[in-house]
Order: sequence, then C-alpha cells, then structure tokens
Amino acid sequence: MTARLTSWLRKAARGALLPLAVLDLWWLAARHSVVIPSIASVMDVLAHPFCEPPALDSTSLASGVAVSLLRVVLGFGLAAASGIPIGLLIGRCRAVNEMLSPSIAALMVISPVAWLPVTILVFGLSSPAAACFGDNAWQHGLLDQLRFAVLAVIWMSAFFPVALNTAAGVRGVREAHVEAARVLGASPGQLIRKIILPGAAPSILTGLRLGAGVAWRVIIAAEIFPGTRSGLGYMIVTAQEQGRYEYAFAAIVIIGVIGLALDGLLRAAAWPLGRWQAAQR
Amino acid sequence: MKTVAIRFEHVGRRFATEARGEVWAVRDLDLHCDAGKVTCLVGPSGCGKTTLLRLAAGLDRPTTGRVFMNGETIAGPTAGIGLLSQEGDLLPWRRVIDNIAMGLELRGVPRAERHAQARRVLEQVRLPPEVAHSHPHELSGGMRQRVALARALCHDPRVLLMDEPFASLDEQTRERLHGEFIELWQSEPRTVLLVTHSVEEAVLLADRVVVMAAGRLTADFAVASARPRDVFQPDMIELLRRVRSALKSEPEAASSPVARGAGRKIQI
Repeated sequence: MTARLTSWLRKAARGALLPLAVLDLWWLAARHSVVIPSIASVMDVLAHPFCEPPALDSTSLASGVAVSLLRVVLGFGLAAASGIPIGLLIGRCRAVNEMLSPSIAALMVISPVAWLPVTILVFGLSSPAAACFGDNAWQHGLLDQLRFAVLAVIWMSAFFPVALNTAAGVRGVREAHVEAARVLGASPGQLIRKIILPGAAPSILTGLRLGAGVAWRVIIAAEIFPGTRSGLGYMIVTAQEQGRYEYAFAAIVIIGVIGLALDGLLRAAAWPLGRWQAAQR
Repeated sequence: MKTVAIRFEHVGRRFATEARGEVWAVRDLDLHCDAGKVTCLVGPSGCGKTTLLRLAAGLDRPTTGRVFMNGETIAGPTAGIGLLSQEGDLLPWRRVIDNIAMGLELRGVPRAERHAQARRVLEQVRLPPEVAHSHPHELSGGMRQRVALARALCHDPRVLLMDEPFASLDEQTRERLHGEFIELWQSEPRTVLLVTHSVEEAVLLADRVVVMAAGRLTADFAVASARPRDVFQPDMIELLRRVRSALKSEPEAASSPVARGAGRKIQI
C-alpha cells in the first residue's frame, strides 16, 4: 500500500466519523420513537424517486428535485449573468462603485427570503408559462411552477455574492498587468477579456460558489412559503403535515447531496486557477 | 546624421498627493534619445525616472510639454514599443509561450504564426524550448525576466523601454543577463531607454548616461568605450567616478511619490 493511499484512507476515515455518528444517533432515535422514520424507510424513498404518494399531492421526489433545481439554475444563471458585468463595472469604475456600493451594502444584509412577500406582491403568481401561454399555462406543468416571485428571490440571493466578489477580484487585478497589455496594444475590450476577467477569475468563481450555495439554501426556504406547490421545500412541509417524515428526511438527504455536488462542480472549475493563485502568494 | 527616436520637449508632470499636496515628478525637462542607441537614466528613488518612462510608453500624459516618438506626439500606448518592468509582469494564468505571443495575439496574428515567432524569440533570449509550456511561477527569477524580455521583443518593436529590469535579480544572473542583452542588442540595434539605480549597470550597457535628480536632468555622459565593457577598465573607473560624483552633488529628490503603486496618486 502506498503512502499516498494510506494518507487518503486516513483522511476519508476522519471525514466519515461525524456522518457515521449521526447515522448511529438516527438509528437509535428511530428505534425509540414512532415519529422518527427508520433509515431503511428513508432509503426506500430514495430508492424509488418516481413514486408519487397520494398523501403528498402525488408529487414524486424526482419531480421535487427537478423543480427546485430548475428554479435555482434559472435564478442563479440570471444572478451570474447580471452580477459579473455589474461587479466588473463596480470594480473598474469609481463613479459606479460610489453610486451602487451604499445600496448594495444596505440590501445585502436583508435575508433574501424576507423579499418573498414583496416579490409576490410585484409578480403575483405569474410564471414564464403564464407569460407565454396565458390561461393555458397550467398545461405546461414544470414551466408553470417557475414563479417569477421565487426566481426573483433566488436572483437576489445569488446576485450580491457574485457581484461583490467580482468587484473585489477586478480591483485585485494588478495594474502592472493592465499596463503591460496596454503597451502591447490591447483595446478596452481586449483588456477586459484577456486581462481583467482572467485575473479576477478566482474571485469570480468564489462568488459563484457562494452564490450557488446561498441560492440552494434559499430555494428550500422559499418553497416552504405558502403559495408554492412544488419543489423539495414544499415536499418537506407537506410530508410534515401528513406525518410522512420519511419523505421529509429523504428530501433533506437529497438537498445535502445536491448542495455538495454543486459546490464540488464549481470547485472543480476553480481548480486550475488555484494553482497559479497559490503560487502568487 | 543621427535620428532621434524619443524626444521630451519641456516636459513636466505634476501629481496631487494626499499627504504633500501638489508634487512635480518631472519639471521642464528636455531630452532626446538617439535611434539605435542605449540611453540610461540613473538617479535616486523618486527623482522622476519611472514617470519619464511611463510618459514615453504613453501610459501617462505630461502636464506640460510634449513627448515625441519617431517625430509623432505620443497620445497613448503605440505599436512599436516594447516595455520591460522590474518584475516582468508576466500573466500568471498564461503559459510562457502565450505570454510571449500576447502582443501578436492582440494584433490578431493567427495562433500558429504567433507561436512560431514566440519560439524564435524564446531561442534568442536563450531559453530552452521546453520552457514554452511552463507557467511563470514554475520559472526562476532570471528565466522570468528572459521571458518578459522575449514578450517585449516578440512584436519586433523599434523602441524598448526598460524599467530597472535587472534590479530584482542576484548578481550572477544580472551579469549574465547584461551580457546577453548587449549581444541581443548588437545583433539588432534598437532604441533603448533604460532606467536603473545602478551606476555600474548604466556605464556597462549605455551609449549615454543621463543623471536625474528632483525631476530634472543634471548631467549627461557619452560612453564611447567598445563593448563588452569591464568596470575595471581605467576609462570605466573614471566614468563611474564622474557619474557618482554627479549623483552625489545633487540633493535628495524633493518629489518622491511617483513610483507606480506607491501611495495614492491623483492626476491633475
């Protein structure tokens, strides 16, 4: 056995200690409680993700995952698409920074979920399907579940980390790199594409990771709100109301796994940048 | 007849600083650099050397006077200039070959063509071909400076501006690079404006040594000795003594916050 493998196994064993302890406690608690579902029953739900129990409005775990993920992908995508250019402007342009920074500082301390009543007031229960198909929106199930109000909250939750980290990354780009490129003949557009964005990329990716994490946490909270009738958050509330805790537990496990996968994906994207960034320190 | 490549005409550059109010980094300065010659600017920190180089590079504009490059007023960075700074300023996320070829890339030269040119320049600066695919952080300080020199030369500029390019290197590497730089320059003489703290470096490399203090030119020495030079040659010893004497006779620079990134600088 190589030293590398031993080291990896040791690391994995340490990392598994806490989850194993939690599983142990869960097993004990399930044995002595009639409310807490057994590990086996939760595993059974996870093993049959397309099962549609009538007690939960005939919504399956898979459809809950699909709706929640779609909401996050759309809301987060909008946040990234708007947060990166605005962060770039804040980082490069003093006037924009002075104009936006106080408002951003005030808005970012408000929990995104607190905006849900406001966004419901503004957007009502409209959805992309309602906007496109009017009264026939209900025929486009998945699209009809993407309420603008929820998307706006997701956008708001991810926008600030993305924009602020982009701005910080842009400010951190060495002026010497910008000037070297200017002397080599870079146009303003080339400066942004070839110097500023690559130079700020590690910080932008940190912002995207933070934004994705917050968006994923917020979607669950937003789906628990009255007015939403789909998604993992809705499933947890319904399962609790119906006393089907195995579904609530299964949803929680899936939330953790997807959150971990999202973070891993963005970490993997940032990995090549980490090498030169570490060497810079 | 000598051709003038860079000309500073009554050039002044004033900065507003938070701590000291308005400061003139360069005042009413006249200087010309002959085409195909190496001109060295020496002087204490804060005397305005780097400001002058930035004006020549088009990275800054004079408050008074004008700067000409090959007879044309400089209004911004222009093609035909290569800039080499103390740290090299290589882009850490780019491989060596992509750093070197950057100027050509920005001009839209196809990838294969610019890489071929970058490999030729890499050879000129005496770096092994396998370095092409390394990242800057994988190289030693001397190798990084060679790469930075290759980047400055890759688009074949007629004027090379060098801001203390050998200052961060150890003595042995510096001496080796001095020799290689002169060989490179002799193979294809370009106009070079070199800023340095080191009087030895100036007299070893330059055709002309210009002394600056407090934003003004205070002395001007022509160096006629053949290259390669040795600081122990009698004429070099005498020149070193005269340049040092010119430096000592001037008071410390009155305007100091002019180095790039040193403190906050407000353009007036």
